[in-house]
Amino acid sequence: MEAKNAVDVKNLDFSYGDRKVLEEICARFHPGMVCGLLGPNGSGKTTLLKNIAAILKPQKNTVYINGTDITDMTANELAREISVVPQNTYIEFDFSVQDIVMMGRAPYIKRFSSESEEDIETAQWAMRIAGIEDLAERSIKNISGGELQRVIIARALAQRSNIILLDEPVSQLDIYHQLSIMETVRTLAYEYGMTVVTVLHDLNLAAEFCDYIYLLKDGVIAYSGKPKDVLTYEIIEEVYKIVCLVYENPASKKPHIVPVRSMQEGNGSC
Amino acid sequence: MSYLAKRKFYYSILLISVIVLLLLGIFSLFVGTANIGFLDVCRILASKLPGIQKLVSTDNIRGSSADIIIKLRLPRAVLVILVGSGLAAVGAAMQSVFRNPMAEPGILGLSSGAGLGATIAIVIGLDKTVLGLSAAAASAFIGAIATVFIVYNISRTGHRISPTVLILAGTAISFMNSAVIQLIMIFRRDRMDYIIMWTMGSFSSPSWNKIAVLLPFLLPGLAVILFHARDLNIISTGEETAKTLGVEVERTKKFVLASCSIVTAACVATSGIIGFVGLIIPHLLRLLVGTDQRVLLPFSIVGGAAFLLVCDTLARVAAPPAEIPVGAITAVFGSPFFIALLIKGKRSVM
Ligand SMILES: Nc1ncnc2c1ncn2[C@@H]1O[C@H](COP(=O)(O)OP(=O)(O)OP(=O)(O)O)[C@@H](O)[C@H]1O
Ligand SMILES: [Mg+2]
Repeated sequence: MEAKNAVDVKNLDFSYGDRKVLEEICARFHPGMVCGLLGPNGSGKTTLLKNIAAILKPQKNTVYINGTDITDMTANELAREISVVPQNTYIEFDFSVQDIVMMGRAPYIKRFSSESEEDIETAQWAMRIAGIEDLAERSIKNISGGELQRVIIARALAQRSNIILLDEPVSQLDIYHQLSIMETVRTLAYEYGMTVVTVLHDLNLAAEFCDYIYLLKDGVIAYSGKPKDVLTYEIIEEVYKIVCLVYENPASKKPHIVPVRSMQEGNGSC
Repeated sequence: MSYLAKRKFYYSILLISVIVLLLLGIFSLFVGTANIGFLDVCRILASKLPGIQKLVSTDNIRGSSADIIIKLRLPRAVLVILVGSGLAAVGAAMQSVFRNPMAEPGILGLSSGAGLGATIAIVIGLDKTVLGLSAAAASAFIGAIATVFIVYNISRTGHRISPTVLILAGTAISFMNSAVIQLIMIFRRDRMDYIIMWTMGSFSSPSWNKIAVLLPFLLPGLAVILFHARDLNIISTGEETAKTLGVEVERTKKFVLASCSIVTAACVATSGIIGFVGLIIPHLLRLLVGTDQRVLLPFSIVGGAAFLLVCDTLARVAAPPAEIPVGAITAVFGSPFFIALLIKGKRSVM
């Protein structure tokens, strides 16, 4: 019997045409935990996330939710289980913020019937958590990049899924909103028991907020484990090709990384 | 403004718009070269309605008047309403599917394909009628559908279709079709006038037959598009996102594009290429009622019909006895109005 709401990735390979991008990925994401996907640009983080969300079509018998192969699930069934906050969002048409958040309820609303009280309340709850209640009636085209990011997070929350996948959710946010969104994400795991998988570029945020980290390099999981075991200066140097210092954050006892310089050729000695 | 807050309001406005459209329709019946009084028009119409026909007398109305109304002006108004509603709804739907505000009914090469089909029929002198339609119309329908079929297969990889490739392939094939039409016209100068008249689009030869042929394509097509209104909203925010929100993206795209193609092909085959309506009416209405397809599609249907009806009536009566091509009227009157709205919209942003 598989644990409820766990995501299992078993021996996943993925290629875009002839170009192999993921190789033999094995990972397991547990409910009640925040898992981080880290790795340099182009290492395959987004591709892995899209495979789990079935945006890209994974091979059969590689990705499971609650023990069910996701290739056997309909889009609607998946949407009730998994919500996704993509890396980039661009919306061409002039929807209101509330309209966009309400789209998160789409998997629950039958064709031709309209939003129920419950849908409206859920959307409002999601907007409150994401801190965008004041924007509800604004046009999606006239808000800032960080605000848009929070609207998309609210839409994912409105889906009320058990699993949430976030692709660099805080990369465009100011420091206050970075922390507040990451705290919210943590609440989703700790209080609502959701399975949270998030791609992060900021190693320090990952160290603070992730319970478990998968570190990708060239399409393979190079290292995985608790932040203090993965975020060591040897590993960071090897994977990211940078020189850095790693301290212990006195407040949280988590690793704290201070980058020094890149190991690019001609950039001093290594 | 969000959809939820204004839904009720929009639906009452829509009801009013439908009434206005009907009034416009009746009004269009009594303007024209032959002078038929408004009351006579009403009586002729009433005399054809089952139930009340015995109550009205048409004794003192000339028989030719009744013929003009029943055989010419009424089918013309109905045809214009159907084509206007079809083209505008297709435009609105295509803009969502392609996430491109420049998308319009002709974008998949439909119009040019229809043009080529008609041209070929005209130059080889086919003058049979098929189901009460000219050979040119039938050939235009086939040309349009064949073109879409080619464009679709160019853009398909496996079971997925890329909107960008669709637009590019559609544009490329359109240019090719137009070039072939021009070449044909050079070699068959004697037929040039017919071809040009056909491609300009007009409602000058209406018939109940055309309507009977158009309806079985138009109504199911519009129904399928309306059925997917909410999915279209979500797809217009991005295909990958739509998948994660539970929309069967590829299937929806296929159904909607197939319906759009059939509706457009039927409209173009019965009345020639009428530009502008499918591009501008959805945008104009977006500025007025917002971008939610559950509101935008019904309004486009009514708005496209009303707009084309006004334009066609002007085309009939502006310079009697000649008729101005309706496509020219749509552009001449629609563009300034649209530009004014754009400028107003820009001001409210600044
Ligand atoms: N649609 C695509 N077609 C072909 N190759 C792709 C496609 N998308 C990504 N790739 C390639 O796959 C590899 C992994 O890309 P991916 O987007 O998963 O990286 P990432 O780890 O998310 O990077 P980043 O940190 O820059 O977001 C890269 O080498 C990229 O060039
Ligand atoms: Mg990425």
